[in-house]
Amino acid sequence: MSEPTSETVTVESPRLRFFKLEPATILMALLFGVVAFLVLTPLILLLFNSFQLGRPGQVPTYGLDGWRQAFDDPSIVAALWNTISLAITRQSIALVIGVMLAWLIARTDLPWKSGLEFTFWISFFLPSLPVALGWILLLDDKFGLLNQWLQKLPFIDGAVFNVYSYWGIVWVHMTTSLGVKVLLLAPAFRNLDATLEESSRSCGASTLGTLFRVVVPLMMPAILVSTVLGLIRSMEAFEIELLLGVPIGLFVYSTKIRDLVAYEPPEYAPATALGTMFLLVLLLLVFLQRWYVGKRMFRTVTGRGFSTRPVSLGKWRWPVFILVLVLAITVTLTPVIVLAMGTFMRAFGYFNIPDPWTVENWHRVLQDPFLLQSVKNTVVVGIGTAATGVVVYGLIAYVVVKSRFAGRAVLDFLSWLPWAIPGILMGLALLWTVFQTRVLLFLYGSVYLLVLALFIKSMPFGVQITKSVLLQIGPELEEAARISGGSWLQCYRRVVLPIMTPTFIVVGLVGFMSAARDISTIVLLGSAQSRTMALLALDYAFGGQFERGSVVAFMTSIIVIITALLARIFGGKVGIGGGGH
Amino acid sequence: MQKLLLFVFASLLVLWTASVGETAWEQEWEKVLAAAKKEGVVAVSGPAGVPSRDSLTKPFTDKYGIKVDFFGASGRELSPRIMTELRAGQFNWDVFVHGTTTALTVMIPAGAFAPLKPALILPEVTDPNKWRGGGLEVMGPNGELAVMTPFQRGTVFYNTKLVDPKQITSYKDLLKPEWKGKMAIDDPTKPGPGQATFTFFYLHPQLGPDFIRALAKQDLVLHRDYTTQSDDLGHGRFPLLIGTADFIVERKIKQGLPINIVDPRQLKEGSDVSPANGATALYKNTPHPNAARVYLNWLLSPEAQTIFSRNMGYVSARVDVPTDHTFPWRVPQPGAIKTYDEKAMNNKKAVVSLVQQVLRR
Repeated sequence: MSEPTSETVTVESPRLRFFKLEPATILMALLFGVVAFLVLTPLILLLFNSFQLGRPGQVPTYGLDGWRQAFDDPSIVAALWNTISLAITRQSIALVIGVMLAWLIARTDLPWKSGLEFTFWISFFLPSLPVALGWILLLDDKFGLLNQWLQKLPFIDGAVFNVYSYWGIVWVHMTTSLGVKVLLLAPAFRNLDATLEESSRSCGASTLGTLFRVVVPLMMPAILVSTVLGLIRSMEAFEIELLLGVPIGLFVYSTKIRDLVAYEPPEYAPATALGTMFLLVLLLLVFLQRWYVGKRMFRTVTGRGFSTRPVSLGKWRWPVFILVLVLAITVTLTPVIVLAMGTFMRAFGYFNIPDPWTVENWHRVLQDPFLLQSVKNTVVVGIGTAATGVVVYGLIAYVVVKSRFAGRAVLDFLSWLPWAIPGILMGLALLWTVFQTRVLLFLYGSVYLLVLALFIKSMPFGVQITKSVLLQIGPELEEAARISGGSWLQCYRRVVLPIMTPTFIVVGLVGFMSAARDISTIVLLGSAQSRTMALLALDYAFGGQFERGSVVAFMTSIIVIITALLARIFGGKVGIGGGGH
Repeated sequence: MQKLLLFVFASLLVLWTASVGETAWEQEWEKVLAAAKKEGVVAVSGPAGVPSRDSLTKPFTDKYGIKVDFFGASGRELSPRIMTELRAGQFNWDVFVHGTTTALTVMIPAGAFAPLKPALILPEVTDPNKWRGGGLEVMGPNGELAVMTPFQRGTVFYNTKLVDPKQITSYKDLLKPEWKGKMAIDDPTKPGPGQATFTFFYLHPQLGPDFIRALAKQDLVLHRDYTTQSDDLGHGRFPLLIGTADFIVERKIKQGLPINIVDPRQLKEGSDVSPANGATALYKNTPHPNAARVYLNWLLSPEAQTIFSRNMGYVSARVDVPTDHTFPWRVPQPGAIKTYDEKAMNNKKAVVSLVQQVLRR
């Protein structure tokens, strides 16, 4: 028997341990610092300039006149009320229908699920202004085609639809809102172990009862994020409201901000003062979301196995399929047909003029010397934004959900903040960031600055959607991988990434699409060489050549749709249960 | 003999003076052009739109082989960008082509432009007889801004199937009960043709604020988008439209829509004159000073003015540029009210305030 030996155990001093940082901690701190700079600087500059009263180019003077001007306007209250009313109405309807659609597509035996899901995606990818004009062509109370056809019926007297109305605005927005709900919710709904539903039904709950009492509560992180996204986007919306609301005297909050920015010289002080409302709304929504999500668990992908058996719809299978198909065709095919039709018309919406059809629009656009450069810029900026977003948003979300980094709650809050800046002011805020801090000045005029700007703009969406799906993944999967000897990177690559791939596809696509459609940011930060297809379409529209602008918009949509299709084909083989594709 | 010698001496003196003067501008031009070609590029900020882009880029490059870095945007988008750059000491632009509003309200007060006259070299540009009114109109305290295309604007637009234009011989005809609820207007509370039209009403001695108040009682329908304004007019949604982008209406007329513009010559009060986006200036501290001078001289030449005015649907201030591409009434009438000068700018706030009050916006 050997004699016991004494060993010297070295205990690390607490003070020393504090200063001895892990490489992972250093990297997370660096990530935190970069995000804080990119997000807080534009916001602070915007707030600061809300007190700056001097005209552009003159010596700055400071005061509260901008705030007084903004909130003294008696029409602000009515505009705010219209905005809130429209936002809540359309988001409520879109949420209910969107949850049902996501559940049907992701969890049931609905026929042609993949095709239906992609059809709804397409509705989200279509440009809003031509789509709105298409609905005007169909639903105008005086000359709308649908109204004209319906009035031929003996029992119809007068116009049935009027797109120039409150519900007209809601309807036109709904045609894209449904698409975004399906896009965001379906991947989350797929990450649900079917045994949870089976357990509920075996306890006597009906299919719908299981949906509302088991599935929906488990999906709340994704549902809440898509709701917050929808509400913020609704508050910012003004294009369709300008078109359909102004003629009936319905003004919204963002119209007021846009009006102030449109003055010459622009009135930035009151515009940015009005923009602070977004910060207040965001704070409220984020607080509510964190309060709900904070103390609950939403793990649906665990180490206990995973079943993807679809729920049977029984006798309702084909009737529900027809209903969903009609809805998909209405919100997608109708605008696509109208958009495509517009590209071949001499004057959009006019069938009775001499030679109403022409290929001249396509001929002229395809010969445009700036077309190829615009396409190239769009693809470069789009892919750059998508790729950067997928990597960095994924990292941020992972740190927030899975790490013990001390600043993760603050990092989570920071990732929301780009939505505190109205889209119409974001480009300006970033321009001030570039020139007043000079940190990013070396990028000015290059496509890299555009990628960075669009990456910041899309951050709230990308991080929060990724986070909501990460919350579904239980820790035991990674723990098992680590115990088996895998490094962090191996665990991330072989366990987390396959589960997250469908979500990353969505995040990447939305980033790509935002880049392809953005105008205000690119106008303020781009150069003559970095103009994209969105600006080319605007150039045609500005020159009164709306039909040619439609050609460019149609081409942009095709590029986005092809990218989406390729992403689905590539990513569809990855994910739990093949992702239901 | 003395007289003969004097005559010969005077003739030689005249010939020598003429040859020196001619050589002076040609020499300067050759020098500037050679330096411009070495610079190789000129940076131009101009209005958004394919017609402006096409007019202001390729023709210049084809003629001189100097690339044009053209950036098109609206004035309200351009001014904050340029102002921010200038404050940071970044001088990225050579030539400005836009409306007078941005120039007079932002750029000139900020000292962004250089005086124009020293940059003009070509006799076809400097000769006052080549310009309507006896010279190129230049604005600003130091002559920074040249007005290239002041033209008579169309202000009242009608559906040809619903309205006989002969009914309208004065703006006061619009106050008749038969037009109540049947007129749309481009929203005059925001910068644009609607605001220009209401500024014209405000400044006209026979119309003024009282006319605006009376017109507001006609249940006017507000619109913001120029394309839908014209389309709605063509569809007959309303028979009359006041103050829209008349170059868009001209295009729609050519497309075959049943719309037209009331000839301002038949209106007792006429209409206003505006250059739209046809004003130009030279930025200070240009990155390519010689290319900028060549570009400016080219832009004001008959060749460039013909292309620009034709593509944009404007009328050039040059007397040697054809105007047959547009309505004959577009040539400015002497004494017409200008809605682009400092007087109009100074009254805009009062106009907007009045319109907001009477339209309850």
